[in-house]
Amino acid sequence: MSFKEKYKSVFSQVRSLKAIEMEDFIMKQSIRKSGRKIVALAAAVCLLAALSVSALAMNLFGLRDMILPSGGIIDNENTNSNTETPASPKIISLQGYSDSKEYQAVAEWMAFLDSYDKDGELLAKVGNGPTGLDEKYSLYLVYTQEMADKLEEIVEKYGLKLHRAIELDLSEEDLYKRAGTGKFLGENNSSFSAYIYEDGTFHIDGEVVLDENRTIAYQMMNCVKGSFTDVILNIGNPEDYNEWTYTTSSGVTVSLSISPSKSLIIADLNNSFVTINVLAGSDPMNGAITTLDLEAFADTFDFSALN
Amino acid sequence: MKQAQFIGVANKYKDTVFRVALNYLGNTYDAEDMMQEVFMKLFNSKNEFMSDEHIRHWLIRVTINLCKNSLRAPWKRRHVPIDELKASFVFEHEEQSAIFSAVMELKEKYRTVLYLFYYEDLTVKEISSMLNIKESAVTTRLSRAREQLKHKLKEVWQDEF
Repeated sequence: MSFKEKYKSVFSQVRSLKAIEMEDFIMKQSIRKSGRKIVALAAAVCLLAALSVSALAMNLFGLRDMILPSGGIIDNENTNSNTETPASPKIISLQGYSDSKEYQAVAEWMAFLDSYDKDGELLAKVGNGPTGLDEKYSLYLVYTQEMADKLEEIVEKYGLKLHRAIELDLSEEDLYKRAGTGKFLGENNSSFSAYIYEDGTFHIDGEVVLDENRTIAYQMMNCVKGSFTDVILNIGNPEDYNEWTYTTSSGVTVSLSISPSKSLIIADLNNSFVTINVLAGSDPMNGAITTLDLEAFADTFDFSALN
Repeated sequence: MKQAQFIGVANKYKDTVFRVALNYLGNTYDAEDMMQEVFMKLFNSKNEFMSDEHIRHWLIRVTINLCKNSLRAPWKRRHVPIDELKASFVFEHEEQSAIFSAVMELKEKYRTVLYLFYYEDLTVKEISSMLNIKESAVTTRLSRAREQLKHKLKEVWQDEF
């Protein structure tokens, strides 16, 4: 058998397990359409000057206080070019507000990654071969000793712990057990996929049946304080969000925000920082979610069980 | 592209796009994401495609361009140990698993050229155009990739290339 035949026989067995679902593309297309309405984002300084209207009681700057300084570097490949000046999509830390050590650590790490191996040359050299660092740093983007050293420097500086282990594909019941929280998803709220780190930091993909016509998907990230979690989120243009605070039926005050394409629920709890990325926005094409809807959505989580 | 046509095309070429992305990016997570991104481009595309071959070439070109761009964002660069990557797939024979490992341990620039040449049957000229490199660079990469594979797979591989 020739090399070519052998090569083909190998790669013919390499297939994607991901199904192509038409709904995913229709949903994403509608999100993009709403994104095209975004007008130019003013400089950060100007943003700060305009905050008095939407300043939040619990956190003066709300979402803006979670934006990472390197937020402007996110690639714009997903944002369609158009004749209007495109706004810079911003990324937020899911670890805490800017005065927290967790936020500062992730900001420093992202700034480092942004400046390191920009052309991917070092990664290309490493390829998929062993680095000797995989066992200790497999949960982070670390493929050189220099990166490992920087990561250690940052976690030491901020007194944080690195994640060492992860459990994937947990059922809802297993998640409650591993997280030690008890049931915190209420009626009409269910998780269909979850993973958890050894310290109780976890992620859920789930959905809430809001009413008989609307089932809304969400992603929830619960970052335990004192650990270093490098998960971030692209929120698009912060100016698109209408923000307010709300005390949920579980008695915990959370920050809510709605944009045309997505909504966010943020809870700064005693032991963890929770971000729920609600995959629906105010735009009719994206679920037409209202402030009352989002409050009802937040009520399906028992934040007191996580506090 | 019309929705009915889109699903047919996407299902026909999803593995092609996935494999190009996997060779370029080196891990299944980003390759899966890239596949969605590429088909989103197709979904929104106003292009008129003349034939299946036209669509296939368009998809490969778009995948390569998006992969190039994605590596500029630090959080899109990911290192996955070869054993973890290999565990994502089931191979019929141990020899095939060894070949997959040897190929995926090559540098990206060799993997991509190999895949386009040996699997997609593209010519040196077509690969040169898609990767925006000289034809001589394509042949050099192919030659070096072969040399490295011969060295790695000498016990498995004794045939000519």
